Amino acid sequence: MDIVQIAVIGIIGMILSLILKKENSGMSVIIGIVVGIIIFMGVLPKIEAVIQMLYKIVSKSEVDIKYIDVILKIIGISYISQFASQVCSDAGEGAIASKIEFAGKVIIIVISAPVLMGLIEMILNLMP
Amino acid sequence: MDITVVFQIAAVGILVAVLNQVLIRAGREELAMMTTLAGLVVVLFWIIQYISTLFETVQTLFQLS
Amino acid sequence: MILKILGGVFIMISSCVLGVYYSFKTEYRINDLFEMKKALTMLISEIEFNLSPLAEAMGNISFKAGIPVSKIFSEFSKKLGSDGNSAFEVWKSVLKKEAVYTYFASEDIEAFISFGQSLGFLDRQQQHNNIKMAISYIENKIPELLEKSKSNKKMCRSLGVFGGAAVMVILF
Repeated sequence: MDIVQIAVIGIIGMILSLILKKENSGMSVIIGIVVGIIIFMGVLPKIEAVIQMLYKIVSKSEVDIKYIDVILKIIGISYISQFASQVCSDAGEGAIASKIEFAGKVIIIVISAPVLMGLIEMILNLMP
Repeated sequence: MDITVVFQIAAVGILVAVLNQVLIRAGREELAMMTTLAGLVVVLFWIIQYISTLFETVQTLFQLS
Repeated sequence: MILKILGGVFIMISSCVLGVYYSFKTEYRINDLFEMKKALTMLISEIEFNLSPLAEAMGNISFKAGIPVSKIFSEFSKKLGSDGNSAFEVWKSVLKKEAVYTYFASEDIEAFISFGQSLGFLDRQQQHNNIKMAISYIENKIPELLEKSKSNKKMCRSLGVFGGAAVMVILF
């Protein structure tokens, strides 16, 4: 799916959602969600290709692969939490949106904890 | 995963809104509220599958377990 | 693909027809009630001025009244001669049988049955009052139904059209 198709789908979805916003605001939120999902699914193969390329580069270098895993997970968590939080704030529920973002941040810290521990251990080992 | 789903949702939304107005003008407000809810339930039924596909895909893509 | 469209068109047409049918039902009910009122008024004049017995009066009216109501009265006058039951029983059974051909609602039939309870029993003055009561019930019902039908008609028609469209979109 190239960029023109994605742009067109987005604009059509925006117009439809705008038409429905006054009459049936629940439906307009749902259209926003669905258009977002469709666009993401359209970009999916390209994301997969990029990730594969990243893996190849990393395996050629000497960085431990689990670090790349952690980075990828952080990207995924941040994407999902941003998607949900933006849908909520578009629908006017700013409080729920900020709670979702906060939860995402906490989970990112939890996931990156082992990396931090590894870093601190390495520093402690360096010191006499 | 193509755009006809969006058109279906928009069509259902517009129809439900029009039916809502007609029923309210005719005085049958409970029926109007019920059709709105019914339309919402039908559309949610379509959406839940989409959202679950999205989250599964993101999970496998970024290896989030 | 074209089969889908054909099926969708069928659904739309059938639900439109359903909506239109429901919108006409109330109108036909008002018409039938009006006919019944005319027949009952004629009954009063038959009993008062012609002094005819019940079966003959009903027979006379059945020639002058409109279609569904005339059948009720003609059946009644036939059965009154042949059956041995009381007038009330015959009236009730004829009403129940012919009610499917009319557009009366169940509460109309109830009112007519309760009117029939005094048939053939009381003296002329009481009969007169009883028939007057049934006529006044109809007269009260008709304006109320006219009000309802005005808003009902449009609602049923658009309900039929949009309901059909909604079903078609959902099953698309």
